[in-house]
Amino acid sequence: MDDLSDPRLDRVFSDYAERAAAAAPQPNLARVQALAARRRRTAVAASAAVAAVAVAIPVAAQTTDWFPGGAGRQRPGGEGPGWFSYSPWPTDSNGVPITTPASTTTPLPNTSPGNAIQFVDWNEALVNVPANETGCGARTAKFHQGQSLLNGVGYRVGGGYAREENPVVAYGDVTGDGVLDAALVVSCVGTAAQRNPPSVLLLITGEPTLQTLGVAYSTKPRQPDGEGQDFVNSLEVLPDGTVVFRIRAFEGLSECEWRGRWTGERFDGSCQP
Amino acid sequence: MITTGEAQAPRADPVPGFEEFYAAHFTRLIVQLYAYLGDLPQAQDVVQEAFARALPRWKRLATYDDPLAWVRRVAWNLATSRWRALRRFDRFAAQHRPDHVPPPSADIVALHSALRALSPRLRRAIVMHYLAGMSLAEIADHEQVAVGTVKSWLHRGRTALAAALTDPREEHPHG
Repeated sequence: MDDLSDPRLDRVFSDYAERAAAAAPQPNLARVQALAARRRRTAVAASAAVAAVAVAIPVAAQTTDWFPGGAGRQRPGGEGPGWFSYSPWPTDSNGVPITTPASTTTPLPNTSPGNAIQFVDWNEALVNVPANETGCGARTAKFHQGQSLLNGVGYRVGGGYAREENPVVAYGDVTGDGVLDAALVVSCVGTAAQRNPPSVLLLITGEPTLQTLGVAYSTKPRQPDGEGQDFVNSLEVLPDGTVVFRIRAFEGLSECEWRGRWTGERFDGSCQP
Repeated sequence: MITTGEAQAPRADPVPGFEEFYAAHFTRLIVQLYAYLGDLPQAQDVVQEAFARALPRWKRLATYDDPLAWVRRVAWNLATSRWRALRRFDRFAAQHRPDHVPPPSADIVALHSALRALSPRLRRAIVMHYLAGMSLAEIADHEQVAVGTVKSWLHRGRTALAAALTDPREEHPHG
């Protein structure tokens, strides 16, 4: 970083750091605790208010910020922000893929037929990520330590923004065929990320090999100033096959809860406060 | 000296590790935000607020490779967002501001003045580079731009700062 070195400025900022640190107040943990407690009380009050509004205008909430998916690759509703879902494979009238999807090669343990997908280490798996608008595009992501990057661009296992130890994944019979499926969230990272959150929900079936059957992703644009970096967490699959997760702002505040059912061609879902 | 009120009563359930983390990074973050904002009480507000947001989710943040990056991002976002304009916590913060902030030295005023002449992005990049010790890649990730863009910002910012901070007597020692 020689081209950025400037001894004079180094000295100016070094002096500044010393003087400003001397002028800075002392740490006050009690004050931080009091602020946190105040935020907690404010959040509870705000949640109650939002809940009241949600009861009054649930349909409006659906149609303004989120739309319930679409058919095929043609995104309905023009370019407005929302959530779009489709199956990357052509299907017949029964929702069965006409052609065999290009499968990943991650081997599945055969010790737990029907449940083997639960034992996949997603941080080291090979996963087909179909075309989407997050900015990273379609690729067969070969994850290592939770990342599949090429020149710093690519996917990370997780809900976006912060790297997490554990993948955002949930298991359940989403497709209704009696076999466990995985709902896995991966996120486009780096400067390529164009959506907020930059996350892709993948529906992956486990047998005989891992196959990505469906995809859903946010179409809400990323904020150019870097703010508003939402992320996905609290993912779960309900007993009836409904996939649920929460969209949170970067501070961890909840924006809305997304619920979607797999129709055989796409997720039919929406996000509600 | 900090005034105390509600803040005087420490909670009975301290979060393991948070206090050390807070004590280790508080002042350095204050310095960075002070340089960016040019206002010590405001810098104190946003840094305290960022730590206050970290506290309830500390159990999760503590598992991150770099929990400071989270707090730093929140503090910077607070400093650049509408949060300051809305001043949702204005009344509360006012109760806990320093009673007395001594006037900054001439050197500090000069640097603040030079930094204020930069665009916010250039100013952030300069502060992150010189005061936070962040690498080009870390600044690029924080600002969601390419590394080359950060290099360009730093070059432009450094040139502008050098000119603004140049003592005329240095340029014309015999004049």
